[in-house]
Amino acid sequence: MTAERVPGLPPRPRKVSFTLDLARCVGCGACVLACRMENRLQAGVSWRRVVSVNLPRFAKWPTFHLSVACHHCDDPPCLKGCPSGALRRGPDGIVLLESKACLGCRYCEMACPFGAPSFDARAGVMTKCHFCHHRLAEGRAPSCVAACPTQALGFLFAEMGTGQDAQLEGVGGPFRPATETLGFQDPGSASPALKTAPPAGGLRSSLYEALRDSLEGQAE
Amino acid sequence: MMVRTLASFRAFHELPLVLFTSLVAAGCGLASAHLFLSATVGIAWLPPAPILFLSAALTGTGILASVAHLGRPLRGPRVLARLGRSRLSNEVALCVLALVGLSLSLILPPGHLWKAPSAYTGIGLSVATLLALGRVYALSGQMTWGGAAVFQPLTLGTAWGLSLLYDLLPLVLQPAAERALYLLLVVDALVLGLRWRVLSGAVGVGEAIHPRILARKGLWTMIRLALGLLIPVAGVLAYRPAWVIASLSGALILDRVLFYGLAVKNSTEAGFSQLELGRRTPD
Repeated sequence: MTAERVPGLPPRPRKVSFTLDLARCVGCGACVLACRMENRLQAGVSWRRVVSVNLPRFAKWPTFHLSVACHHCDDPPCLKGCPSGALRRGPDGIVLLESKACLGCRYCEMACPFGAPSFDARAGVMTKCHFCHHRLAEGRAPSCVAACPTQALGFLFAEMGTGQDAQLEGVGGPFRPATETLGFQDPGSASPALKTAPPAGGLRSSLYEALRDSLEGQAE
Repeated sequence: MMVRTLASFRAFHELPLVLFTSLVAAGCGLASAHLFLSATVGIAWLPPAPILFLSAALTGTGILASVAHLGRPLRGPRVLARLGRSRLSNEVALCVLALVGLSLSLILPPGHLWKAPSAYTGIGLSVATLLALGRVYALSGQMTWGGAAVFQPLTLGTAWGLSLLYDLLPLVLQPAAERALYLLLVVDALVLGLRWRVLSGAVGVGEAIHPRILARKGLWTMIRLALGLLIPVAGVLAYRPAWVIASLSGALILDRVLFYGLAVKNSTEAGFSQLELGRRTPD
């Protein structure tokens, strides 16, 4: 398990993004549960979910898992469409949803190609992952990152002005933009900030690479 | 069965939006149809009071119905907070201004300086609203709401308005109006055909929002085509204006139900499903 307090996390981290090492994620769902508990999510509301991908050759054997939440995109379609101004993007790249300004029109839910905004039927407003910015302010990792037993889920930040990336939590890599992961789509060019590392080592890696070759053959 | 029906009803949370888009398409379509006839067959540019009233009433009722969709209806006025930056804010503003223009013209006495300009403004904004009704849904998150679907409210709403006005025209103008109606019905059917093509390509690639409705997409589309083209054409040929109006009213409502019911969206899961099938995801 990762430590609660993250050493070296500056008081106001700049340009944060989640990282996911596909080689390490086992799809346990601890991140999903941690998020629900930390943010006291109502029934029917979910900010994080695990997508399991079975490759066709071994239909009953999950090949890799992705823990996905809001990707805090560089050009978020949810923010562009919101009529009430409830959504805003901070200098740290976190896309925040102010529930008090939300009409509950669900337009952001329609606009987001990643399924991030979630409607809270009881409150009548939209809700979404906010990167546990309250924990970041205290120098702690987001709850999903802290709960990950294999350190597959992490986050990156870039210090303002230095252009230097430093991985604070999670191990593995090297991390590339999520759009380079097979199967990950970015319709509308929202530029999700998520970074991933492909499955590495062993049979999963071989299957992944074989599929990449097969798909590249289809493109030609 | 009653419980399942009620559950399905509640699951279709877009129902207030169906009412909003149908009523606004009808109201603005009536104004648009009047403009169309003024430009093509030469009727007076200023609509008579009953047309203004019906157009305004339908549009106003539609706007009220849209409030039912909001999770927080009392915060409704905030929808205009990002005017000029959000398509949804712009759409609502256009709709409200169209209503104001039409209503003002209705209220002002004949011969008043502002009566005609208000009507023309209301009519112009009604056409803009019909386009905005479609454009607001051209989102990267949705596979089936862009492209030709943007024009459906304009074509179908105007056709509906034309069906209402046709019988009120002097006999000498009716043949020209008939030809105009046929043209609109064919264009509307072509737009529907283009939407079907997009839908067919999206099924199995994206994620269905209402799978049970999507499972019968062929049947629903055929019904929509019958209501939107076949029955109205038969009605015009048989000189049964009531058939035309009733059929196009049904088409208007069914079209909006199918717009939301047959929606296929982009999603992370859908992208990876393609990978599982060994298919390259579209760029």
